[in-house]
Amino acid sequence: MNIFTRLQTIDRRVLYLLIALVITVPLLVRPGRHPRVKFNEVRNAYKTISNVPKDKLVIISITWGPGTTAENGPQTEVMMRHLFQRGVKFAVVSWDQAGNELSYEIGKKLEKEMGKKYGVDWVHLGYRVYYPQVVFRGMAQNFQKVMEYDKFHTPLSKLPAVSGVKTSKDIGAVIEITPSGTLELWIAYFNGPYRIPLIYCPTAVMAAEAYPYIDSGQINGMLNGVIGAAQYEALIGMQNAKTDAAATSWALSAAHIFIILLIVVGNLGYLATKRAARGGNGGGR
Amino acid sequence: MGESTVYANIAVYVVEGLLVFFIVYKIISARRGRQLFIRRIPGLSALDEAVGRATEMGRPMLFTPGLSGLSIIGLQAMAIMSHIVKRAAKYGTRVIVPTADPLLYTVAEEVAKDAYNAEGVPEQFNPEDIRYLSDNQFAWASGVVGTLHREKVATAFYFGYYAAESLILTENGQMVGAIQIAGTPTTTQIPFFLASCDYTIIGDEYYAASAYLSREPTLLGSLVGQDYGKLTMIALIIVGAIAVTLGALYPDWTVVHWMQSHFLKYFQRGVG
Amino acid sequence: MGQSLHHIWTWLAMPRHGLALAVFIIGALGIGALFLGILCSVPARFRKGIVMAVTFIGGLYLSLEFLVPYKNVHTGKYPLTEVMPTVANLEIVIGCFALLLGIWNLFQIHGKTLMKFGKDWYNSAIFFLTFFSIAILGFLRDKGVHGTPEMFSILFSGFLLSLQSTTFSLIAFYIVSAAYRAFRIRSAEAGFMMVAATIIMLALVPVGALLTAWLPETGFLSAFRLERIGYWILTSPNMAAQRAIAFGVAVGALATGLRIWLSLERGSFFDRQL
Repeated sequence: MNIFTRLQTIDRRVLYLLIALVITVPLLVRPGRHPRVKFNEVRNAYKTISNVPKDKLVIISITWGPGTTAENGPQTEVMMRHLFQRGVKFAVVSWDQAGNELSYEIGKKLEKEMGKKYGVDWVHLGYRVYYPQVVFRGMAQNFQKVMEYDKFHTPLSKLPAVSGVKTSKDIGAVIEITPSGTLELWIAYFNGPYRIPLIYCPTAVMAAEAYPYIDSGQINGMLNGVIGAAQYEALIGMQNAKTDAAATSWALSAAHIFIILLIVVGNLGYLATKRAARGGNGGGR
Repeated sequence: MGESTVYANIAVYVVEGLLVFFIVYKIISARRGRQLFIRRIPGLSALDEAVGRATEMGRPMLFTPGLSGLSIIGLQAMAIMSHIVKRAAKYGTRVIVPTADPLLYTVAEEVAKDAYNAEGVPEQFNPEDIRYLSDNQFAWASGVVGTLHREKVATAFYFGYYAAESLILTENGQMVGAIQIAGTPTTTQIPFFLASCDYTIIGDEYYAASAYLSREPTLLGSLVGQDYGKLTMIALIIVGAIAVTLGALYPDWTVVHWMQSHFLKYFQRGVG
Repeated sequence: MGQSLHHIWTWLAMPRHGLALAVFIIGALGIGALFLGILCSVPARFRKGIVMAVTFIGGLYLSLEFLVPYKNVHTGKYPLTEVMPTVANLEIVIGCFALLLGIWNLFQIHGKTLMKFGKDWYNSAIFFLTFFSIAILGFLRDKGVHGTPEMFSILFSGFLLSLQSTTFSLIAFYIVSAAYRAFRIRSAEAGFMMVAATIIMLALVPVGALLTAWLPETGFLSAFRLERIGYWILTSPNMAAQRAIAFGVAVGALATGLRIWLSLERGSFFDRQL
């Protein structure tokens, strides 16, 4: 087996070991430098949240679980952080059992760090069964009746952050943080009909699908995976903070370069083998 | 903004009305015996070849409807599965069907039973080959991966709704040397299937599959009706683009005002 | 009449506990079994008609609710929309019955393997062990039995969630082997796709911007910065392709839905004699 054939047939276990190293090193080193470039959709998300009136509630919708924590976790954290910074009240609702706990933990961590109070500055509405046609519409028409109580079964009327929220008119924006195809449901049943701004925070793989909706104005801003979260962090003044999003963005940089190198190596082998085969078959066309 | 905006507006009536009209009209004309042409779809043409390969190797095949539930996507997957099981029944090849949705599982069992009956070999139907694994995405994916390795499948078909598990399934299929054919309307997973499968059916080709495989007049008529529907959409896009462009260049023209008030207002930009 | 129906419905839908709950569950199961029994005893020639009628009525309700929402002028409410939660509950109930069938299938397959000590029997044993552990602990936790929430948490967060994350993270490895194996410049199109993919991969991460940071931020040359080219690919060619596929898929779904609704579907089990 010559070198060109070998380049084309590197053992997959070697590749797996290398990618594990490439991803792990930046996560351990944890560089704090954030991306310098900010995409338009991230800037627009920032502007939208910055313009939400302080007397309105923002809904953070969680459809993610442990599998996508690396991407959706930093998105959730940075959006909550910005809302706490601005003093805009928010309610988290989880449509995923595991995301229910994970999002609550993020909220509690930030609450402690930023001196906020549960029930006054934010609430967690707990895990809800995902029936968008019913729940979204109901939420817009009678928030108190449909949501009723929070994660700990405390009636919403006893929680100042949400006690005054009656209908869609009291909701300032929805932030959908998700690895699934839930976007169209929000547009169809909530944000579209009731004209409420929508910030979409998908995993990077889902983001490409969302651009038509950004262009049509049905999404007001988007955080494209963990890179979007890192860019948003830079916008809220965390340019040099050593955060998970920043470290992950460098891990992704390293992984992408590694994959590109592998593709190049594979193709070099492929082209050389092809050329050699042509030569062996009588020296060209 | 009132709650009435939750319901259909005039644009929906017109566009949906036209689409329904074309589809139903073409179905009726096809049923009356009109001959209709359908172009070649390589991935679907390869289905029989893939069944043949499994037969030659004496190894089973795997068909999965992905995470589809009892929905349009899931039912379409069942229509494709029916064709594959019939072919497999003809050659006496086993088909294993792991499902992730209990409702679709019951339908899959009926479809498989029916396909074996149709081929006159009801005794070949083994209810244990139609399996409900789990409705949990990754538990289901792990189950399918285990099946791929344990049963050493020769051919794997992935038709239906897929999410992040698509690459996990196909890379393991690749490891066991299976020929793999995938079809999904889920655009985010198409690149992964393209990179790891031998054939991939993309976008609306997925919905053309049952018509392509059965050549049944009703389905062919529906397919041609869909094309007319797409032409309607293209026409709307062109008219819309002209209206917006004229609106920007010549805002005072009467025709521009007319288009704004009679056409564009039903296709507003922004939420809604 | 309407009033009394409403009262009956409210009484039926009231939350219940203890013995009353058990009676209601057994009663509902009995009624469900009776209903299924009646359906099964219907002569074969009428079955298809029943299925067609139920399918049509279901589709008609959802179509009317969206397309022609009748508004009651006295109450200002939309009666068809008002019953939507009930329709959604009905779907959940039917799903629960099907779940039982799914579980029965799992029990059959693993039970047989275990009884025969067949190949890989230990997998089947693990299935029964995990199934009953999590089910029993779940019930005990809801009953408030001391120590069970912690044990349930170990099984759910410690095992299930960790296993889910592990399986998901495998994608990182598979994506590398798939890209390495599949991306070969076999044709001009493949080459074109590879260039586009490379630009996007670099443009999305911070290192991409660093690679072309030497180009000016404004003016003609700024268009050649990697992040700008990548962004253009995402928001122009990608968006056009996404839209085209979305339109095709939507029309395809509408056509399939229409065929099923009107019982026009052919070619598989849809047109068989039941």
